[in-house]
This record gives sequence, structure tokens and C-alpha cells, in this order.
Amino acid sequence: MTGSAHRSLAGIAVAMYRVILLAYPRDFRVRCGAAMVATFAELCGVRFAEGLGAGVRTCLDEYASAVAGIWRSRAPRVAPPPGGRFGAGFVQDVRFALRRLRAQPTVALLTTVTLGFALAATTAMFTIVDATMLRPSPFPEPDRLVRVVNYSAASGRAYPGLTREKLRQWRSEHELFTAVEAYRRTSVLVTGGPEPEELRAALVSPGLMAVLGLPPREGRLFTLDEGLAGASNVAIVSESYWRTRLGRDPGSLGRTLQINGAAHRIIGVMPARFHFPTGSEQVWIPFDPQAQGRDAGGMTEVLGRLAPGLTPTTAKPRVAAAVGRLESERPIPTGWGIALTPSSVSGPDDATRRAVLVLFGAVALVLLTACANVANLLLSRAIDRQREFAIRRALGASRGRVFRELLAEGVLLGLGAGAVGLAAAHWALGALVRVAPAGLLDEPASNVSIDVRVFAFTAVVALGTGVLCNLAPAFRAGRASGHDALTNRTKSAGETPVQRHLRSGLVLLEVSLAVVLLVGAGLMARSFTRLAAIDIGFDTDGIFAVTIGLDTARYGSEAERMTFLTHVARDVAQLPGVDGVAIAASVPPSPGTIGLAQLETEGGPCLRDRTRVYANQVSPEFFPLLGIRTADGRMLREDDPPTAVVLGRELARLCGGASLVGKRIRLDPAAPWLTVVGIAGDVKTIGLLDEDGELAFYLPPHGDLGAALPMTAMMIERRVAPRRLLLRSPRGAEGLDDVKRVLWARDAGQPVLDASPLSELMGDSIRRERFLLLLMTIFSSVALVLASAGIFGVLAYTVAQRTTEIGIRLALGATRGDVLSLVMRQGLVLIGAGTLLGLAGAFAASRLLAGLLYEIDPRDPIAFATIPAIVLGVGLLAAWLPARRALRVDPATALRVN
Amino acid sequence: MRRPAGGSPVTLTPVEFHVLLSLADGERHGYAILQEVARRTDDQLRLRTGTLYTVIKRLLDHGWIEEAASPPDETDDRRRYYGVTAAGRSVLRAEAQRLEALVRFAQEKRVLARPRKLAPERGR
Repeated sequence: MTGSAHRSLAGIAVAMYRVILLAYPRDFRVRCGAAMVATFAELCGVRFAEGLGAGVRTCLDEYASAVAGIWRSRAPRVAPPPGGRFGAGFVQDVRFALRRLRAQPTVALLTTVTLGFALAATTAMFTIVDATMLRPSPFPEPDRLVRVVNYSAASGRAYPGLTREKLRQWRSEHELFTAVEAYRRTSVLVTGGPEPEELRAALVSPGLMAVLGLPPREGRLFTLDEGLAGASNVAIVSESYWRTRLGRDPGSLGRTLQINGAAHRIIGVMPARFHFPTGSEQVWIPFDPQAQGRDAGGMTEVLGRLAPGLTPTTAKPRVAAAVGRLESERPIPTGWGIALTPSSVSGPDDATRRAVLVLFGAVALVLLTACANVANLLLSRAIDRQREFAIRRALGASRGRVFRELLAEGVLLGLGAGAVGLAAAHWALGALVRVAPAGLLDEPASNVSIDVRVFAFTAVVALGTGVLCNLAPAFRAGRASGHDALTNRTKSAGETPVQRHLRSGLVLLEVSLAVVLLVGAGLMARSFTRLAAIDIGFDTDGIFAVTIGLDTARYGSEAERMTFLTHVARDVAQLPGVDGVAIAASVPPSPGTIGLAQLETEGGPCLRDRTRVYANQVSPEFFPLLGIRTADGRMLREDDPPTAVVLGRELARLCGGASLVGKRIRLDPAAPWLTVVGIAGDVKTIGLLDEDGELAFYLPPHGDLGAALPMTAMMIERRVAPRRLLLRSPRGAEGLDDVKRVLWARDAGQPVLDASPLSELMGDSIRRERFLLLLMTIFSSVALVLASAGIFGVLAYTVAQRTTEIGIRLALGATRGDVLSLVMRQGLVLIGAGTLLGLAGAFAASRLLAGLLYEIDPRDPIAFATIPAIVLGVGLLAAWLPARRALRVDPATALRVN
Repeated sequence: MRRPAGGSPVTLTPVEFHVLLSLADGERHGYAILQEVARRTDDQLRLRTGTLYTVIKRLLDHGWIEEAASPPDETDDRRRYYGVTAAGRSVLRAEAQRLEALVRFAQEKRVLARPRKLAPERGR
């Protein structure tokens, strides 16, 4: 090795050795550090002269020895205090910290409350995140579970309900599915238990429970021959039914329940975490989807399990190939097309996930803002406490000791805030769950509660924030030097430039975070106003919808039901203050009767494939009452024949448009021809966000819906048939009592299931958006308040610090305006810079909101332009108060204080 | 450092013993101590700086060695010299005597061979 080469290598090695030495205690380094380096350098030099390998080996050995020495050098020479190094020392730190906190109750309280509430929001949101997204599906391999719906490539529409033939065929496609099963949600009347009741239930094909993959808690699942016509009736019950109605009695297997009048033997109990298809079903009954019946499979839902290794996305090409093959081999009227989507049992959908994540992100930003606020507060307190720390240091406390004590203070504050947070979260969660729309929280409300994981999360975050907030003050306190602080010059020494920049930086952070949240809220507000302004196609002012549940045992046919309702409507029309009455099978946003129609005019079929349509039966008053436009022709009249029909405009367009008026149309080859009397404007049949609810048609009350549209089924078959009475009554809710009186005068046994203003019902369909907007508004407002408090705090502190300076300036002839601009300038810089930073951040982050905004670009200029104005206004207000205080400084008194 | 109660003699760890021993016959600097110990033990005990200096610090704290001035002919002024103090010398002697006593016991028990006297026995 050349002399210069190994000299430079040695130099590097020595430098690294010095770095290791930094870890030794100070007095060790003072006494032996130079000697150690010298010895190492000598050793190193000699070895490198011998050779590179020897040199490197030696250096490594020495490094190792030096590192090992770090621990040995710190070994206590006296016996450590009881509890070990960290034990007793820490306990003492905590005791001191408690005492110090008690001495400044306002700061402690303010901190605990601020952090506590921020933590409460965070905990509540985390609980929701945990419940909706982190808890895995109880079923094995849930991403192979798919929902199978019909898909028509020609119309681009997807709709549920496979026909028998389609079901049979796809079941046999073993390359794609290991199983394809069907189910139907329903309600059943159960007697034979403690009391008669109506329960949510599901009819399932015998193999479905096995496909889901969760074994029963008691008993067994269905065998493949159960559910066939003629087989003995069996049923499986849920764990909650078994627990609450059957007393957890293992002997209840084999007991009989009367379900809808027929005896069913209980053969199994499902475990508590089994939910299918939603969280509310309590009974599962087998059925044969291939059985004959009025329902030709129209509305049966289909669940499939994909072949191993496939997901809904990766299965797409195989599906396309299979569809192509089937279409060429054996075309059928409905078309073979299917679409696969992840089953709802495998977890929440994308939109829900995104909404929850956005809210969680927002809450995290609020927490960060609160932390910045608290950190600022603690920092300013630490500056004021310099004297205290300097004294402690002068009395012998090491820098590390003071640091640790302040850290202990932070830990205590964090724990306090955590406790407050958990308590508040419990309350907040209850409120949140009640207000949240059903779609957002798929879990039954009981599952969303604070459990161990959430507790642990909160504890960690609380401790973290407590320590974080006290970190800067702790550093500062450690460095409090003796002399300056012990003399009375502490006050005027005030904060160093570093501290000032730190505090300003924190406020800057707060302002920018508030801006980000405000932009988010602004975007959502814009989106929501767009939504609320959607033309639904009808009026809702002053209109109430009364849903009457007609007993199908008493009024068996639709004709009987409609006749009864017509009588009731006539009576209601006589009531004082009632301005118009109509009857309808359904009213938006209820979908009413959904069916599959093969649209056909006298000139031939309109579409190749069947398409989903919404059917309604309405009295003639329906159209003028709701203000539905007449697009062509006329609306229904009293004297129309049963075969008259009014088409929705979108539906009519498929078959020729305005020219249809007066012509005939039928919805099924087996159905009778209907005469089109008119075309009505489109309405949002199933809610504001409904995309394809417009394929609607209206029959008169005495029309025969069953014959006109054979392929229909109700989503939920119930013993009572809900029908609507619509009325306009300025008297509002009081008028409804009269309606009930009139109804029950005719027939006392018909329940009123619901009576609400129509506007409320329609508003329900945008519950999720309203909920999101509400939360975002709350979060952003809180952040704005915190940021304003931050601005106020910094400026007030500045004014207090610079009182003397202001006094001097005033005495030397500065005007009030000069003083004002002095203070406001600092404020404006903070607000301005913070806003710019926040806008940049919002610009980058708004993309995340893309899926949740309705017809609003995430970079919407109006939202981005108005927010800075709001922040500026609020910020100036916050800056105004300290500025005024500066103006009121009396030069004489200010100069005297020093 | 193990300090038995009641004022009985101190025991030194092997490394402490060797370092004190190296300084017994004069002041030395760190590197020299390393070299001497390695030579004395035939490379059995190769001290490294970490070990060496934790021991040196401990001996300094006990007052058994002290920093010494560099000898006048020392050209490298980075070298730091150490020397043994009176207290250190007495501790060293005490330890050596303790070890010697242990060796004698081992010899009586025939665990160690008695050394063959090279000089002729007295009285022969």
C-alpha cells in the first residue's frame, strides 16, 4: 500500500472511530477520548502499513470493541436505585411532571381538552374504518365470491335476476365457477317461537351456505335434495335468534317453527359472525331456483364462487369467451351475457371505502392541526418557564434529565387527552352511527363499538401526540443556560429567532391544513348543491306519501287492493285542507315493481334483449299532483280501458318516441297488447343518483300488471303489500292523522307503514353525500378555529414581547397606523403563506375526492377561489385583536417596564 | 468492580491486573500497553481500545492510575501516558500475593507441579 493511500484510509477510519466515541458519556470522553483516538490511530496506521486486509480487520475489531465499551462505560458505579435505571427515575419524573401540571392548570386543561376532542374524532373514525374495512370477511377466500347479474352488451345495462336456463347453464361452466347459487331476500311470519313475529329471511338454494364456507355452530347445513318440492321443510336459524328466542338450547335442533303457516324443522344454527346477505336475516330456508312458478327467476339474486385463482377482474376474459361461445351455439332471448362484481359479503364497495378513507384522512389532518396548536401553546409556556429550568440546571439536573421530565409531562398530557378522547369518542360514535346512512356502515350497529384494537390505537396515538407536542419545548428546556436565565433578563431575552420561526412554522402548518380541509368541504358542498338541484322530474312541495300495508290475505288480488284504495282516496279528498289525492303502487324513490320486458311494437321488437323496466299503477290524479310533464299525447283518465298505458319518455324513445302515441305496445310475447295514450316526462324513479331508473311505465289502477309484465318479482315478498296514497296538504303532518282516521274507518286492520313528506323521501337517497358533507364541514370548521387560535396566539405573544419596542416607537413619533401595520404584517405573512401552501396541498390531494364528487371537477375553480377569501377574512379577524392591543400600548408605561 | 464487604482485599479482573502490571515498571501510553500485554501473554490476550479504555477509566476513577506527562523524548504528542499511583501499586501487590497463595495451594494439592529448582538444593 502506498503511504498516502493508507494514510487517507487511516484518516477515514479514525473519523469513523470518533463518531462511535460520541456515544460515550461526556466525562468519559473528556478524560479518555483523546487517548483513545490516539491509540486507535497508531494501531490503525501500523496495521494498514502491513496490508489492506489486516488494516480493515483491525479497524472492524476496534469498532466492535468500542461499541461494546459504550455499555460498559455506562455501568453504574453505585447500586442502581430500586426499580432499575428506568424504573425509579421514571416514577420520579412522572411525580414531578404531575406537580408541574397542577401548577399550571389552565394550560393542562386547554391542552387536554383540545387534544382530547381531536382524539375523540380520530378514534371514532378509526372505529368505523376498522368495522368497515379492516375486519376481514368471515368467509374463506372472500374475493372469489361474486355477484352474478345479467349484462346486455347491446344496451350496456346490467340487471339482476338470472332465468332458470341461464342459471343452469352457468352453473355448468366449471372453468369459471366452482359453484353458482341463488337466493332471495324475503320476510316471513314465524309462529311456534315465543311469540309470532315477522322476520327477515332468505330463501337460498341448498348448496349456497356450503359455498360461503362457514360451518354451522350447531347442527348441519342443507343437503342438496332439501328444498326440492315435496322434500320435508327445514330451516337454519341465526345465532341471535337461537340466543334470544330459543334460549341457546342445544335441544332446539329438531324443533319445529311455523314459517308462513308451514312447519319447518330447525336443522342448524349459524355462528354469530355469519351474515347473509345483509346483517338482518335470521332464518334461511332452502328453495329450488329451478322450480316452476309465476316468477320465472326474474329477481333472484345469484352468488357465485369463482374457480381458484380467479377474481372478478381476471375472470372477465373467460366470461367474454364463454358468452361468445354460448351465443353462437344456442342464442336465447335474454342473451347469455353476465357481469361479475365482488359480492357485498366480501366487503364494502369502492365508493364506501373511498368515503371512509377520505373522512379518516380529514380527521387525521384535524388531529395534526390540534397537535400543532398544542405544541405552540406548550412552546410558549416553555419559553416562559426558562427561569424554572435554568434553576434546575444550576442545581445540577443534567440536560437529559430535564428533557426526560418534560417528556414525562408530554406523556401525562397524552394519557389525559387519550382518556378524554375515549370517553368523548364513545358518545360521538353513538351519534355517528345513528346519523350515518345505512350504506356507509354495512355492519349492524352493534358491531361498531370501541374494542381492544381501537383502544390500543388510541393509546398509541395519544401518547405519540403528547410526546410530539412537548418535544420542542423539551429541547428548549434542556438548553436553558444558567446565567442569562437566573438574572432578570429572561423576560426581555424572550424567544430566540429559532423559536419564533418554529412557532410561526407551526401556525403556518395549521393554516395550510385548515385550507386543505376547507377546500375539501367546499368541493363537497358544491357537489351537494349540484345533487340537490337535479331535476327529479316531479314536484315534492307539500306532498305527503302515506304507505299503507294491505294485507294480502284480505285483499288477495291487485284489483281488490286498488279498489279499496280508490275508496279511501275519495274519502281523503273530502277532508278539509286536502288539495289533491292520488293512489299509486309506488312512488319514487321506491322502485315498485321491477320486471324484465321484451319490448315490442306492432312493427316488431324494439330491442333484441330483454331489459329492466319499472312498472307503476297510478290513478289519473298522479300526474298533475306530482307535476309530471306530459311529453306527448295525454295522461291517464278515469275512463281509460285496463289496457291503456302511459310510457316514460326514455322507454318510449327505445321504441320509436312520440310516434308511439295511439299505437300499441306489449312488454312480453305472452302479454296482451297495451295502447299508448301518452308519454310522460322522465322521473328519477329510484333516487337522485339513479342512472337508469327512467325506463318506466304507468298502468291505470284497474289494469292487469301481472298479465302485462309476466316476468316480475318483488324484491321482498311480504305478507303485506305496500301501496301509496299521495296527497297535497298544507296542514302538513297534522293532516295525516285525519287520513289515518279515514283509512281505519274503512278497514281498521290495515297498518300505515310510513307517512312522510315526499321531499324527505327523495332526500334520503343522497343521505351518504349529505353525511359526508356534514362531517367535512365540521372538521374543516374545527381546523379553521384552531388555526385562527394559533394566529391569535402568535400575534398576541409578539405584541406582549415587543411592548417595549412599540412604546419606544410610539414615543419617537410612530403613528398608530405604523404600529398596526407592524403587527398585521406578521399576521398577513402567516395567513398568506399558509393559504398558498394549503392551496398547493389541496390541489394535489383533491384528486382523492374524485369518486365522491357529483359533476364537479376536483380542481373546481370556484371552490379554490372562495376558500382563500374565507381564510383571509377569519385570519384577519384573529389578527385584529392583538393588533388593537398593540394600539392601546401607552408609551410611558411601556418604557418604564424593564 | 467487586468490593466484598468488610474491608477484605480487593480482587482485580484479569484485564485490570494486566494493565496495572504493565504500568508497574514505568509510565506507558495506550498503544504500548496493548503491545506489552499481547507480548506478555503470547498473544493470548489481545486487548482492544474499547476494553482497554473502559478499564483505564475505571482505574482512573479508583485513583489507582493517573495521567502522566509525556517523557521528554516523546515526539508524538497525541500519545497520552499513564502511570500507576501508590494506591494502585499496593492493590497490585495485594492481588499478586493473593494469586501466589492460590498457586501454592494448587501445588500442595499436586494440581500444579512444583517448579524444578535450577540452582542446586541447599545442603547438598
